[in-house]
Amino acid sequence: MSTDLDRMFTALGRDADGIPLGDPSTARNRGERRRRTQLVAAGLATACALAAGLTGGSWLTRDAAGPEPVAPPPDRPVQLGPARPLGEEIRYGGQQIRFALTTIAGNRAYAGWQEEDGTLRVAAADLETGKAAWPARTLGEFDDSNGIIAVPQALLAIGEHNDGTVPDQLLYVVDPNTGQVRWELPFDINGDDLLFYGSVLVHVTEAGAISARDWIDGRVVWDEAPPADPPVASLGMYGPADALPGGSNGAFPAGLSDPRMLQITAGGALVVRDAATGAVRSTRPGVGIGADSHYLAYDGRLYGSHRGTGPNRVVVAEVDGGGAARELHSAAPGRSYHDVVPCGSDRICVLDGGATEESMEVAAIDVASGREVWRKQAPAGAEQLVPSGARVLVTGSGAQGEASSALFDHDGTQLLGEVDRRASLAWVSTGTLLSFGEGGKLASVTAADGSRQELGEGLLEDPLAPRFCSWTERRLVCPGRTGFRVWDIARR
Amino acid sequence: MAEADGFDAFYRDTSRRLLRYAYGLTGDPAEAQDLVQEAYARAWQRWRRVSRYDDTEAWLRLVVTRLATDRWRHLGVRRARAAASRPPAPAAPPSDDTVLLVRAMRTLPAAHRRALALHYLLDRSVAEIAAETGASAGTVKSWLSRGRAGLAAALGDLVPQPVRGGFTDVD
Repeated sequence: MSTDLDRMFTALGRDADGIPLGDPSTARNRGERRRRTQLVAAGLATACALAAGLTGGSWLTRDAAGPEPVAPPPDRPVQLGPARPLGEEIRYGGQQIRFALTTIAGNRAYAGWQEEDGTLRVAAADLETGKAAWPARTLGEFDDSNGIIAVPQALLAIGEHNDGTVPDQLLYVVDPNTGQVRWELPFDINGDDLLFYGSVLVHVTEAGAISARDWIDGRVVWDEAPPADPPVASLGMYGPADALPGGSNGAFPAGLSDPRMLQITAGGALVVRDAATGAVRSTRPGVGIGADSHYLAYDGRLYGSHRGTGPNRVVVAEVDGGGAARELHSAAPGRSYHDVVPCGSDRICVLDGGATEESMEVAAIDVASGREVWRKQAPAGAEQLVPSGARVLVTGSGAQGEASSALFDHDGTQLLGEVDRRASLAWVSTGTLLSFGEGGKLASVTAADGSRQELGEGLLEDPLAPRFCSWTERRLVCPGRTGFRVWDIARR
Repeated sequence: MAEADGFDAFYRDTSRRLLRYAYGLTGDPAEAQDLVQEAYARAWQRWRRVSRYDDTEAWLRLVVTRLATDRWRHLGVRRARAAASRPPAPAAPPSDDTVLLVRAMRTLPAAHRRALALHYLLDRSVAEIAAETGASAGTVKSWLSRGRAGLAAALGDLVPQPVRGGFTDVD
């Protein structure tokens, strides 16, 4: 039998070797397109990744009882009303488009789209009235775009040449009041980091050179040459007071309110700077956990999750404390992390899984003890955790591309009804979610009990629209085939 | 474009092996092509990090494993999606041995297929498969043994010889 199998596998291998393979550029182009929507979904500084990894090694003992449940923070539910269009659709200009995206900051709703000839354009609407705030602006012609990001200081749009230009990407910083391009920044989206603080935009190159630029004119406010020990991650600190992202399904807003800029170096040191001045506040060795890791800074702590080869684990360090990072959790053998987020006071939630979509699970972990407070089955195809207070929303897509969601309470209770488990959900406030269901159905969902209120149907032309819509507690903006539109969703 | 050059070189060095693995898991040339392209696309999305992994090729295999597990169950849907983007170049017809083996492989659980593909198509030892999958060596031996037994049963009359039991012939 072994001989037969050897022969048959040899034949299979030979046949496999004869299968034509695409050029590497085909894979790169496909990756760029995937990345575009991912960037819009998560924001540059927090772009999340498929957390594939190889696992093994120790597995912390599960404690079925676990620590005492953490009291959830008070909800702030908002009352939503039937969706009503505000103003006219703001049209793209009659051209066929490749894609359109939206984002919101302050009193502006923005759309960015790329036309069939590669022209990248942006436009803005007044969020109160739904009327155009300024005419559509042409930014340039590109092979692709990595989307748009809005912060109160500016609208950011990213064009991508893909023609050998170095660096490949160009970031436009657009005046939110006039639509005029204030300044441009060439950068490398694969190697560089961009962080958006109140007074400056910080650009970190892969080699570690830092330049902090003024939002208005792009002048360099402070800079640093590449250090001997280059950073492997540059990130900002989020906290409970940060606003919900207000668009797609990212966990955090693009803008950073905490003034600290954190860097983890290749040598494992944590460097904390004042983003406004560049002054180094502290440097501490022994915090990093290797290059193939993801980091999240939240509420004074730095969480690192190793998701590459070897045992997957999560470590935590107090940013203002001392000493090395402490191991908080390790994935079970055969499982790897897909997402790690804070989910309540002194808790993190992890999305981990094995080789199949059905193996995805969500677990809440007590940061003090490292024990699992609860662990629950996640919907098949779960991709991302979006926390609000002590609850955590799980989003993903099923085998046929259909939306799949779950909402876990602080004690692990699943709160969503059957209809909303098949919808795309997003936080509107700490107590309320928007549900984008089949057939363009829009509903509000009360987080406390999963109760649902229909807000309208047939509103969205594209089944994928929820990925490209943005919202506040009173407004919803979505792209259509010919233009974008603002909807009033406040209760009247 | 040094980064793209590095990616392209890595692609050229490894993509044939990944295609073998993908074909072993799926038994479908078009699916294997699409899986490989998708895996490298995901790698390029985060190439800065992925390229620093201790074993980037193993990371790609894990991506392919996950996608293949999904695709095995929902072949039609996934193929429809792939067809909407770009039709793959056609492959030559498979040999009779390959046709039979693919048919037999499709009867096996995903873990057995994965172990067999790693062992027979990529010459991975039990210890290497254990390290890659996070399973113990004993579990891997069991997957291989049960996988071979499953293949023998599925191949039926074509391979009537009794399966050699035990774990000693897989190292």
